[in-house]
Amino acid sequence: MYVNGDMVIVSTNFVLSAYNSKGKNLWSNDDIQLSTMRGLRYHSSFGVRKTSNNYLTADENYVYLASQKKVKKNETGKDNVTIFDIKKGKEINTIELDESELIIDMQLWNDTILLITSNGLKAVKKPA
Amino acid sequence: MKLKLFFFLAITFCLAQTTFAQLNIGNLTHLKIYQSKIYVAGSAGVACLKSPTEVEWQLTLPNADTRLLEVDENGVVFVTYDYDGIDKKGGFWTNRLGDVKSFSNATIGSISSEGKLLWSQPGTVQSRQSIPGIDKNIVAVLRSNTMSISDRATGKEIAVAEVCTINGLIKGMVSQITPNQPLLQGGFIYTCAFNKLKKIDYTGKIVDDIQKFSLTKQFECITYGPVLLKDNLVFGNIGSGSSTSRIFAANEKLNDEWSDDIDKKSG
Repeated sequence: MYVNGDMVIVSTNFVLSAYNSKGKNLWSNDDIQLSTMRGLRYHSSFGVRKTSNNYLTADENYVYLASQKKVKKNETGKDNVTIFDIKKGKEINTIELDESELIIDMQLWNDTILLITSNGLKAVKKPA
Repeated sequence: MKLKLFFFLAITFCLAQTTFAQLNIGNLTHLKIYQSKIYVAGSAGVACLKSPTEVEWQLTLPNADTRLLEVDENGVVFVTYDYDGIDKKGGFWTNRLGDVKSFSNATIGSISSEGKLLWSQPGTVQSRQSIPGIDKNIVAVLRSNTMSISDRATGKEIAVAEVCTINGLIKGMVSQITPNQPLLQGGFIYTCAFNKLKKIDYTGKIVDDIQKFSLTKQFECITYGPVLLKDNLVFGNIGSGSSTSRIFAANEKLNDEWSDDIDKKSG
């Protein structure tokens, strides 16, 4: 969940949605994927977050989400930062990480997406 | 000659772009940005960076599996804990819900804006801990079933509020939850503990709590929040049983402002 001015952006495991402060659903994108650490993991019907860390953030133009590309059943996914248009929730780009590199935390710093990954601190330029 | 100089400068520039600050704080565990500075927690300390390439200060601290932090104009507050293991209860009916996770090395500490350790207190309960909620007066940390309220200046624990009961199956479920960061607003602590939204004063007294907006709007297990959106407290839950994942908004009196089903299919 991330508050961006008058808007709150929320991700479940497979849906990304935005609401205004009066509760109006602005958009939903039901085609998102989990990253290794983001989201809930279930025991029976009981789900818990894996960590306290942040995997969703936004600026005035884009929403940034720790995610993975869809893979076939026997393939292993790779973490990425998926970027969505903040006005419509449409996916516009992905920033792929290295093989086996996990996203542990994510924040925005000036024009940079700042990540803690399993390889340490990483800085990636935001799209213009 | 000019071409050689150009390549030398180009290579130097590229290296400068990719050389990160040398951090000696162990495995990195948490990241915060406050007033354009980067704060990083690690298993062996905390660092403040002016930029990804420039360290302002770093402080070595005793090792911990997990260190989480919050930052304001008065400095950094951090919590730690180690994960020790799981007591598997097993059984067909519990289906891992009763498994109890155990933790140790729970501490809460405070660092000045200049990077000096002000205090560090061992936790009175060994549990997973939330990111601290902070203001100039107190530090509020949600643990598995209690809220710890400490004096910001000294670290002395002022009060402990029991925020949910832990009996039988619930004990295992609560031990597995990642506690939500408390929100400090208007002299109260707002916290989402398991299936309730609670309003607690700084003496630890639970002023109010709710677990549903209506019969069909139970909070179930709240997995995120509250966060402040305008004047409303916004939080979200998991889908369980026949209910879907929902987002809720309550006002400061914990009354229903709005809610919606986010995900029709899953959590």
